[in-house]
Amino acid sequence: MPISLFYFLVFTGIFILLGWAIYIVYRNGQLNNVPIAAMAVGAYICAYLTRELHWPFLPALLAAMGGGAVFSFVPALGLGRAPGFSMTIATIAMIFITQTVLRNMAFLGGVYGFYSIPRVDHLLIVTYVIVFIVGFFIFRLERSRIGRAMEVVFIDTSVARTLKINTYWLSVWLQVFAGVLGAIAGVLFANLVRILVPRHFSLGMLLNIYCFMFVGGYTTMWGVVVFTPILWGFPLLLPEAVAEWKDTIYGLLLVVTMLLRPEGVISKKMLWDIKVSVKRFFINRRKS
Amino acid sequence: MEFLLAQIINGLILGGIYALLVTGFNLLLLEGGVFQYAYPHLLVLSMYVSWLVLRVTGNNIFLGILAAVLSGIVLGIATEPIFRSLSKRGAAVASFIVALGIAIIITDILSRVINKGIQIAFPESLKGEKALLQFGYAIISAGQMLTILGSFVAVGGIFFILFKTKTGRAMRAMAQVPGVARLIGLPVNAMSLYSYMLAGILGGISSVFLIMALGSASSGLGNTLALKVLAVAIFAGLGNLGGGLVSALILGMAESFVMGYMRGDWANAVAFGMIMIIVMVRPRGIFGMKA
Repeated sequence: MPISLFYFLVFTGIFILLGWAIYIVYRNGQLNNVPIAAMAVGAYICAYLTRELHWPFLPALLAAMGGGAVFSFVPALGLGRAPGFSMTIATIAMIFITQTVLRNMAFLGGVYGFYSIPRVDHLLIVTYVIVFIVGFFIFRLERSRIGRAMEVVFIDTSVARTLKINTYWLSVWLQVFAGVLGAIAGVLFANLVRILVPRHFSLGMLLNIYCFMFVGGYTTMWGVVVFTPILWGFPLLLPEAVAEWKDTIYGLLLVVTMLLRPEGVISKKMLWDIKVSVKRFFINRRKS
Repeated sequence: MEFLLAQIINGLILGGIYALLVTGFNLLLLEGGVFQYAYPHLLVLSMYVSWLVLRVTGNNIFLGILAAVLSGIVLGIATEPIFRSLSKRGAAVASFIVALGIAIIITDILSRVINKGIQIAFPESLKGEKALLQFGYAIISAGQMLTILGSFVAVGGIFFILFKTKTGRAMRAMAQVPGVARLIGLPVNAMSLYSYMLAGILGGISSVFLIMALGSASSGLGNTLALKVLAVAIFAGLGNLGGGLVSALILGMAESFVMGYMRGDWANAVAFGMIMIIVMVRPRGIFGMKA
């Protein structure tokens, strides 16, 4: 497989995981950016354990997931009650705090970065096995009682409370889940690039994920799945002079999508309409 | 003692600039329910416009300052039609995402087009470094004095318009109950445009003070300022105009002292750490949300 295709596919998998991490908390009506900071935590934990302590990949992955869970659980206890925008900004602040702490940790390479991270064998397969497992889990979660509770909270928090949904703990656990997903994305990222620098985990990364999620559609998990490869891939096909303007193109796409189709390109209603049309097509065919 | 005094002066300057910015930001939030993340980015764009005018006119300071203020107003008004439909349907999150998109575009253009993306530097004469007052090693320069006084006069002017004039009363009515404001015949669209203009004026003035305080600008400045402004707004409570002023001063002072007494790298982390603690302990801000 060409190396560029390998990188494209693994990055796409990582971005889908991050997109789902932000999506799952947003379905609960809160825009949480902890997954980017948790990604940094997961990446550095895995890198340190595999390079310095020679841990195999799987225990390092589990340790990173644990790290991501603890890292997101502590602020989630406070942020669970925070109004939407306060959470958005506080979690952006967390990204900056994490970056500053990493920059000042000499044993993790500081500003110069952490190099020569061992790479797991068959990274592409590992990535997509994880993406499939996480995707299946989210798919089932959305169809469970918790998923229906999230749906109500997204539409109206007051109604959710009258239905005796514990919005606080729902938010806390979803934030922890998002943190774990962020940490997994970080582990895969560390294995792919093999050099970690604090500025990798910046606002720029968050803006890319926002673009994939809000342009793709935030009312269904499939928006991220379909639009991450499209939006991440199309700059690679453009001439270099145009591809350099990737950020401007992403910005324009965000603005135009929010103004013309606020729910994103793929919406729940759109999926429902497709499902009904396909059903009708087969029923008519059977009749004729 | 002199070092402490120097930190207090720096804190007042930072606090004054943050106060201007957070007032403009809160004004847009109250009037249209718009979470204008790109507001500081527009201010940075004004700084770049001023820099271009200074270059073309051979460092004519008057024209440079005029260009900064006017471009602030024009850019502020130009964004109103983009947010109008979002404001009408009360789409706060969508307004944040649109503003984020605008911020990405401005940052990308500034990092590629103007001065080939290299940091721009303003003439030394704009800084006003002539000492007005001196206490040992601590100096208050003309530029610093102008920034501190100018910030408070400008914010005072906005508060006067909002709380002592008929237009201000109409704007406050619109902020509280937009539907009723429309019913009693208030020109809602004109008022919205007016609030964008006022926010633009504040943005333009802050860009002049930032030019004087920093003496340079780069494409990344917008994001740094945006986070500081949002931090101040959340610290106070979103949409709380009075609380925003006090919080701007607290955060300006805190940042100045951290920069003075700790390694500079930690200044932002301490500021954002304070935000985290406030959001976790008092989710609606110290003075309470108004928006």
